[in-house]
This record gives sequence, C-alpha cells and structure tokens, in this order.
Amino acid sequence: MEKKSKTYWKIPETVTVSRPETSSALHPISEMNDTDFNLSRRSFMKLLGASMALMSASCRRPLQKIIPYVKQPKAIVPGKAVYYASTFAINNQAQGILVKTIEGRPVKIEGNPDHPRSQGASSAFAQASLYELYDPQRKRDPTIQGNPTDWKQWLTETGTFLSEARRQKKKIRLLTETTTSPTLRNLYAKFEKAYGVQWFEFEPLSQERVRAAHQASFGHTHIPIVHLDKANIIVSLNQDFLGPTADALTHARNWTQNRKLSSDHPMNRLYVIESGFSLTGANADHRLSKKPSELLKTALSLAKILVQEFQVPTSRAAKEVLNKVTDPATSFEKQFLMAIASDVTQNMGSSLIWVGEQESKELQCVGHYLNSLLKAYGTVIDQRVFQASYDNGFGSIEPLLQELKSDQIDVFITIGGNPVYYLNSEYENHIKKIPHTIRLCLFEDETAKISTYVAPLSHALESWGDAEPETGLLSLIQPTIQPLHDSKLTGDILLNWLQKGDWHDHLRDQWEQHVYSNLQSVASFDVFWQEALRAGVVLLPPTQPQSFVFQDAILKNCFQTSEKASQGLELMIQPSFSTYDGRFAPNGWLQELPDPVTKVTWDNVLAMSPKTAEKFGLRQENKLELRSASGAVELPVFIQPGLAEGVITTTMGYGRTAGSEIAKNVGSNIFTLGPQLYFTALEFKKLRGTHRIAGTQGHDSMAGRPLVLEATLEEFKKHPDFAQHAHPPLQSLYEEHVYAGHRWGMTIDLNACIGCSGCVVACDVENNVPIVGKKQVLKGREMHWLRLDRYYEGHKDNPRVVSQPMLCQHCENAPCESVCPVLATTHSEEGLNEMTYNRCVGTRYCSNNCPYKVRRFNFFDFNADLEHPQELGKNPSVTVRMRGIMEKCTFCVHRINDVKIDEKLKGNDRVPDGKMVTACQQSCPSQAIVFGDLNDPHSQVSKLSKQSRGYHVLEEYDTKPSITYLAKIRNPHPLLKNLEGEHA
Amino acid sequence: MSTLGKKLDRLLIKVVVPLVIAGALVGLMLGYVVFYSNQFTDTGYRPQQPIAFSHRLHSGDLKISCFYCHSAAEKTATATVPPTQVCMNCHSVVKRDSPEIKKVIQSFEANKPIEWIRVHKLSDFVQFKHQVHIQAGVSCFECHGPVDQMDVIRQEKPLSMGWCLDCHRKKNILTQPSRLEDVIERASKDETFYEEIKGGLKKHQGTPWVQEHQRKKGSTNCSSCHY
Repeated sequence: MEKKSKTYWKIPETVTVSRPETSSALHPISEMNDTDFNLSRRSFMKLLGASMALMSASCRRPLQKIIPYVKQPKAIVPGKAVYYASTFAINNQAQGILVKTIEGRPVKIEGNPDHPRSQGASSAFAQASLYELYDPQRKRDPTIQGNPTDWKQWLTETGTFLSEARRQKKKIRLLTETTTSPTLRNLYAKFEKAYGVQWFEFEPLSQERVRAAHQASFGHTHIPIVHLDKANIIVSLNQDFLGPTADALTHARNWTQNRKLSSDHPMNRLYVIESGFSLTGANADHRLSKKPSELLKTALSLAKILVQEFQVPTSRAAKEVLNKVTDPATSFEKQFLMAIASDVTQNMGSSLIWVGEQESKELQCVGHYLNSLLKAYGTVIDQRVFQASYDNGFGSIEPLLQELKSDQIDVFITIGGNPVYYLNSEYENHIKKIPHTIRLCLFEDETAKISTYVAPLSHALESWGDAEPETGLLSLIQPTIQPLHDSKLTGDILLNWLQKGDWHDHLRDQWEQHVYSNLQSVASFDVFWQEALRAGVVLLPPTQPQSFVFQDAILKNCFQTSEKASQGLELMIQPSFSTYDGRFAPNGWLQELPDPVTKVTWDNVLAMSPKTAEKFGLRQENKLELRSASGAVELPVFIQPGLAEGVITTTMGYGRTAGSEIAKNVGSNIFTLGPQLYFTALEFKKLRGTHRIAGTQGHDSMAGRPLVLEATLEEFKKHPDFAQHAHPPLQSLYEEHVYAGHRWGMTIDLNACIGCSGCVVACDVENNVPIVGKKQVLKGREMHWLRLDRYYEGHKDNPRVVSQPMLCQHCENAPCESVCPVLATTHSEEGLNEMTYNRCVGTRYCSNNCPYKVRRFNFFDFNADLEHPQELGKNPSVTVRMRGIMEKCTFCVHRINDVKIDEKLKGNDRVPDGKMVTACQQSCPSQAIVFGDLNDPHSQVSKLSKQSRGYHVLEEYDTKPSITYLAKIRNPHPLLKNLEGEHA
Repeated sequence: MSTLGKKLDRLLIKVVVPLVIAGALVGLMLGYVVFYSNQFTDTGYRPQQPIAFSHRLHSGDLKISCFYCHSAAEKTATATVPPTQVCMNCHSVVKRDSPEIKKVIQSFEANKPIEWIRVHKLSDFVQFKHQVHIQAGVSCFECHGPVDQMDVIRQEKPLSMGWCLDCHRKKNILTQPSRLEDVIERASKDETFYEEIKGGLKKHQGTPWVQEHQRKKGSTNCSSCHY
C-alpha cells in the first residue's frame, strides 16, 4: 500500500510568513473593531444604572400587529413554500431553477429537476443571485443626469430624441450584454430596423474565438454540445469545464457519472494540460502545466504522435505538416502525450479533446482536428444540438470602438453588461462626449455613472423572459416577486420606444407563433403556456445533424503560428468563482466564497509557482505592478504550486469603482491591461509594501493528519477495504445512544465531489449565514457552516488536489456536547447534534473541543448590517443569530422537521427514503452528498455508508461521526503512475 | 466623636452597606426570576382590538368551528388570522348596520387589511407548528384557554418553555381523538364535555375511542423547536 508514503500538505510554507498589519485591508462591510471598545468605570456604572432602570420600566412587550389579507390569493398559504420554475441565465448559458417563495418572497433557489441543463442541481452563481435581488444598493429610480425622475418623463424624453435621431439619420448605437432569449433578440432586431440602429453585443468571455475556429475548421459556426458521460478519455487543453460557468453544472453531472464506481461503465480518465490551476486541473487524473504559448505545440505534438506512432489515418496534407512538428521538449511531456495517445486510440469514438473557448483560434482548430481523428463527432460530440454562441468579443465591437473614438455617435444605448468597466479608460471621455447616452442597468455602475439617461432594470427574479442555451431547449423566466423598486424590463422599455405594448403579451405572442406552432400540440395555447410555465422548459424536436468535416488545409497555418513561441513572463486571465466577469462583484455571498483552489476571498491575486516567485525574488503578499501598452494594474503575489514556470494567472471581475459598496475596492481591475485574456512579455515591477490576502485555509488546518483517503483504481481493486484504517480497539466512557426512530446520516463521495463550492452557497442561503467581510476573514471568523478543505498531495511542483467538504459530523460521542456548561449543544433522539441558540452563552468551549473545527462563533452582530430589503430574503424557518452565539451545521433540521410533519399529516410514522434532502445535497451537481436514515437498511445512505470505501474522519477518536466519507479513487494511466514527481 | 461612634461608622460602611447592597441585588434577581416569567408578564394580556370581535359570540354561542376562520391551523405552522373576505362570507348579509361590522365592510371595500393586535406570541427562536399539534390531538383550548367564553381575546397560558414541556414530558395521558373538530363541536355545545376535556378525560380511560387515540410522548429534543 502506498497510502502511508503519501504526504499531504495544505499551504505552501511561503504563506505562513508573518503578516505585517497594513492599512490596505479595505473591505466594505462590518467595519467593526473590537479594540475600539473603551469604557471607563464611571461610564460602566452609568450604563449599568440606566439599564437597570430601563429593565424595571419595561413591563410590557412591544405591540405587534397581525395584518391578514383582505382577499387571500389561493396560491398563498402563510408559511407554506411555493416553488416557481424559472431560468438563471448568464452570457450564452442558462440553467433551469426552482425559486422557493414564502409568502411571495423568494428565499432560495434550487435546481429544476425537469431541466436538462441543471437536472435538479444549482450553481453557486444561480443561488447567490438572490443576494442581487435584495441588494439594498440596487438602482431604484430612473434618473436624468443624476436627478431622479419618473418613468413617464424618462420614456418621453428618450423617445423624443430617439425619433429625432432617426428622422435626421444620425447614428444610434446599441450595445448590450449577450442574451440567449430568442424573444429579446428578436426585439433588438426589430428595434434596430425601426430606428436605424446598429446593435452590438459584448461579453468579456465571448464566443468569438470558438466561432472563428469552427468557421475555419468546418465552414460553419454551429458549436456542438458535448456529452461527457459518453467519453472514456477526456483531454482538456485549458478547458475549465468544471470551472466558474453556468454550464459546469451539466458537465459536472455527466463527468462524475462514470467516476462513482457504481455503474458497470468503466471509470473515465481525465488528462488536463493547462496554464492556470483550474478546478478541472484539480480533478484531473493527470495534469501537465504549460505556458499558454506552448499549448499549441503540445497539441500538434499529440497529433503527430497519433498519426506517426499510432498510425491513425489522416490526409497527406496533414501528414506533411505534422512531420515538421518538433518533438516535445521534455521526456515527461513525451510520456504524457504517449499515454494520452495510447488511451485515445483504444477508445476511438469515446474520447474527447477539449480546448478552452478563450484559446487561440489555431489551438482550437488543432483540437477539432484531433477530435475528427478520434471520431468523436456523432458520439461524444453532438452533431444535432448546438450551444448558443454569438459574435460578442472585442473583435465584433471593433467598428463601434472606432466610431466612439471618432465621436460620430449621436445616441448610445447600453443595456446590461458594464462596457465602461471592461473598456480602456480612453473610451470613457469619448462616451462622455456623446450627446445622448441611455443606460439600463441593475446597479449604478461605472457605465451608468457617465450616462445621462439611466434607468433601473428589474432583476431576473422579477421578470418575464426566456432563454435558449442550446438549440431546441427553450427555457422560461417567470417573475417570483413584484419588482421591489421602480424598475422596468428591457423588453418593456424597447416596446415602449417601438410603441408596441407590453412585454409579457409580446413574449406570449412570440411563443405562440414560434414555439407552440412547431409542436403540433392538440392543447390550446393557454394550456400549453401554463404547462410550459409549470415545467419551466420546453424541448423542441432535434434539428438536422450538421456535418463536421475538418478542413486539413488550415493545419499548416496552425503549425506556422506554433513556431512563434514567446519568451518571458506570460499572464493568463480567467473568470472568477466570485465575480464571474465582474457582474457578481456586488454579491457578498460570492465575494466571501473561497476560490476552490486558492481559497482566497475578497480579492484577486497574481498566482505564480514557487519557482517563478523565487526567480523574481517575490514572496507571498508582495505587491506587484503589471504594465502593458494600455495600462497598469497593482496586485498581490500568491504562491500557487503546480503552475508552469514563467506563468502568472489571475482572475477578472475585481477592482470595480462603482455599483455597490461591496463591489468597490475589492482587488484590481485586470481589464486596464487591455482587451486580451493572454499577455506575453509583460513588464512588471515589485512595489513596496504588502497586501494582505484573506484566505480561508490555514486557520482551519487539521495539522496534517490523513483525513482524505485515496487510492488508484488498481490499488482499490486489489484492496477494496483500503480505507479501513487500523486503530486500537475503541472504548467509550459514555453510554451508547439508542435510536428508536430515525437516525440521520450522510455520505459524501469524495470521488464525485469536484470542489465547486455550490454547496457552500446553498448552505449560506438556506441557513441565513451572514457574510463577515475581509477583515474578519483575515481573523478566521468566516461563518460558513460548510467549508471545502483543499489538500495538496504529491510533488510540490505538480501536486494533486483533493477537496473535502467539511461540516458538522454530528458525532454520536460528540466532544462538543460534553463540555458545554449550559447544555446548549445536546444530542437528539435521531442522532443530531443540536445547537440551541437561545441557551448558548458563548463560552466557545465546544468549538475548542471540536476536532473537526466546524463550529462558528458570532463575534459580532453580523446581521445588524442588514439593510432593507435584505431582511426579506432571510429564510423564515431558521433563526437569525445574534452576537455571542455559537452556530454550526444542523443537518438542515428545519427541513427534517418539515418533512416529518408532512409525513405525519399523511399518517406515515417514518419519512420515506429520499424525501429529506439537505440544502447542500440539493445543490450538488455531482450528487456527491446523500442524506437519509441510517436506521433504514434499504435507504441509499445506509447502503452507501456500508461500502468498502466508506470511512469516518478521525475515527480513532471514537467520536462516531454520522457522516461517512467515501474514499477517493483516481484512475491514472499505468505508464504515468510513477512519473508525476519527476516532472519537476 | 467617640470610639464607639467610629466603630459603628466602620460597621456601617464595612458590613451594613455591603449587606444592604447584596440584599438589594439578591432581591432584584429573585424579583426578576419570579416576576419576569411569562406567567407574570404575558398571561392575561388582553389588548383592545381594532374591532370588538367576540369569540364568545362566534365560537361559543354560534358554535362556529375554530377552523372556519383559522383555516390554516390544520395544514400549516401558523393558525392564521382570517382575511376580511372570510368575515364577509357572513357579514355581507348579517348585521351590516352594526358600527363594528361597518369597519369590516370598510376594510373589504377599501381593500385595506384590518390590523389586529397580536396576543399569542412566541420568541423568534421558537418554531411552533400548529398542524402537528392538532394532528396529535391537542385541543385548541389546551393552549388558548376557554376562547369560547372570551369576549375579548386574552392570553390564558404562559406559553413558556416549562409549560410546553410539562405537556411534552407526559406519556400516554389521555386526550382527545385526532378529529379535533368533532371534539370542539361537542365541547362548544356541551359544557360538561368541555370540563371533561380540561380534566384530561380520565373518566374515559379504557374506552375504545380513547385507546385508539392515545398520545405518544411529545418530543423533548431541543431541535424539535429551536433551530
């Protein structure tokens, strides 16, 4: 067994250097400082006396009113949740959601099980969009030059100068964010025609390159969707398919399907060749780090090996080009590519080479070439269903930028997105010079600041709409609450300008004409519409398959580009798990969500390998200035093992200067460097001073004990019980608990857990967990009940990663219970470790005695920062905790009680298996978390917990946790098993 | 001053004053424990409601079932105060000229809800569920007192945790059948029957309908109510 020789480590040593206190730890919320508390004896006495007097004076409780409806709507029963199917859409992606509303207020977002793209799971972004809805800093009224006005005046004035511009044939330009909504796109087109407008769309994470690559490779721009569940071998080239996108939900479900060792299907194998350290890389069986500029060469080398050494048939022209390709630089890389080649040739038709959407056109073309060699089209890659994609990059808006520069535009309308934040500052002055600027947005953001006519948009949860993330999949958006502020929908405003009525009617009309008519349904349209709203999704029959014949001629071009490898430091910019591309920067839940790999909150950082840092004399938290032709940016250094030498990676979407207090002054705006996502030969300068990075890993360290057990598939087959570790016989001082009814328990499959952190946000939203701000995170006071521990393993230059969700283990012999002086934490008859807030006096003994370090203490009244209307979004079933209270995971006891009561009312004594779903389990895209009754031998959780892979964390303490972890199994290639360490 | 005087002074400062202070503190604490319990602060709370609605009339004399107005009590956690519409089911015809009913009609016509004053209130950290108690056969009267005899609704029971547990800790005490409505119907018509319910129906011990509905012990887990 190799298990003993494995060394796990959590944080590179460089992180643990002492951190000098600096004033740069800016954060927007909870500017509370516990050292400011100065109270003299005299004032203490005064306060004491006053409070005594008040106490004796206040005999009566405050007057409280009950205000019933006058006419109660049928659907609303006070206290009872109603779910609405809707859609969460960003960029060209969309996923089906169910919005849980209580008394007309959305309080939780869950996945829609009927929706093929979410299959019941929901991403961190989708769930956190609830924060956006209730954000007190949302724009509330339409304004003209910053002065609040009413809609009537706003619409009249804008309508007047728009008609004037149309009459005089002046230039009207419309710049929108990308939407997949067929109805809205249609409306944009109508508006374009009616007013002589030119419509551009822009997203920093555009589909421009992926479209260009498809155009060059196949002569069309149909981007097929992939079925990871059909792939045995997956090779990712900078494709972070498990990363911060909405689509990751689908990919995670499909990818983990063949990794749970439960089906007869062989376990798949994932190779990742990448420049950053992505979540996909963290889940890889084999990972190779490469500079961005070297990837093209690597891809061509792989093609060469396939064609020359494995005799995969190809055209002569292609052979000629590949002959010229030089061999990989290192023997490790050669071995790595040989292993891939041997795997994929054995799995023709069930292998996939997947290149990131933001990679160069040439690299993507080579990817398409490889896939056509491997016959992936028609099997792993769908030929009939295509994902939505648009020309929405910097290349597509180039004509607009030229016009901006030459000040030719008369009316400039921006809808959604945040162009001023993404564009270089020089455009700011040009936009200011435009006679009429119209801005429709959710927040008073950078673009709104320099626009004259600014109007608030309704949030997606307040809106009607639709989305078509892939061909034939139509998803509906329906409002779940009346608009909280005086806002309108994009569609309503456009229709007003077009004088065509109401958006909701328009949406219905369009669906009747374009969707209903295609379905040959016998039901009336009204019935169809009701049913579509109920399900949230309508599937149209598949279209004709497209042909994907690779045009070999372009390979030559790709080869020529690959020869131009660059030297020097390279920078790669990735979307962020917290802000995506900046749009979620005002979202506190997401800002405080640790990045799954770096574990950094409230910041973007320059990640570089220890070797690169050493080479340039940099240390953790040093400030660094990066300079490109168009600007400079200042960011702290973060030492990230496993990156290629000479590569710096960072995330976009930080350094917002407007929008909301939370968004401001968090990190730096990387877009100031210019429009690309890759930079070569970047200038940099070390600055004086340091910038403190608030990481969540470090304060919760479990002192290097082997908590995550793992083995390779081969080892597991030889020793299926490898996870059972030897320890002396355990004897308890306490009496055993007897569980007559239910005995709640959970299993977490570490093989399925990808570390996406969706469960963390689900738990935050469900349990009213407060955000605490950067300053408190630096002190280790984050409040997440569920955290993801990330451990590195193996060689420090190319570590493997394991993620472990860590939450209250609900121990049978709970160490916390025996030390509580006030019996605030007790054991229930159903195996729950209960936390009674109103009894807790805050001694924190329990937290001290907890070996899992999962208890969280309210050092401040974090909920006191709530501003109207944030309190509307709190879950009414869970107490909002105050200062001085200990809290922790409850196994969603409020859900347990609700389900039990539901069953009791039906006359059932027990809760049937599968009825009780915790919030984390519900959100998990890979279904790694299973909850249920351990007393029921037929429940899924009892079966799973008896698997040979099952083990308890720190079992030797005899705490008897209710959570069983299923050990991680990797599937390495036999050729590479022992080589990874040599990669150094 | 004499030495005795000095000694007395010292005694006064060193013994009597601290004793008095300590006594006062102990008194305050005891007072707090005794007089700040729900028994003293909450029971008997009887605020004046915006409309002089009489439970005695509706529930007692007219024998309208509790669930006619508090319709969600059987199904959800909250019993709910009826929407004006429910009042109007009868009062669109009945006693339209009464000044109190005029307030109801006004609320209905102006679409302006009646702002009742809350009487029974638990702390925010307690999660009480009506439906499950009704399912278990607990009578409305057990917690709300003889509502059918109240002209102005008042809090009868302390609704404190100790009071809840008094009931939850008892096992197999005899109580009403789960079809509570039957019992209420009967109790509201039959005074002696009502008294019997109040007394725990000891007399009915052993009778078949009581055996069928013997109550299980209520949960005493903290997390049944606090989360």
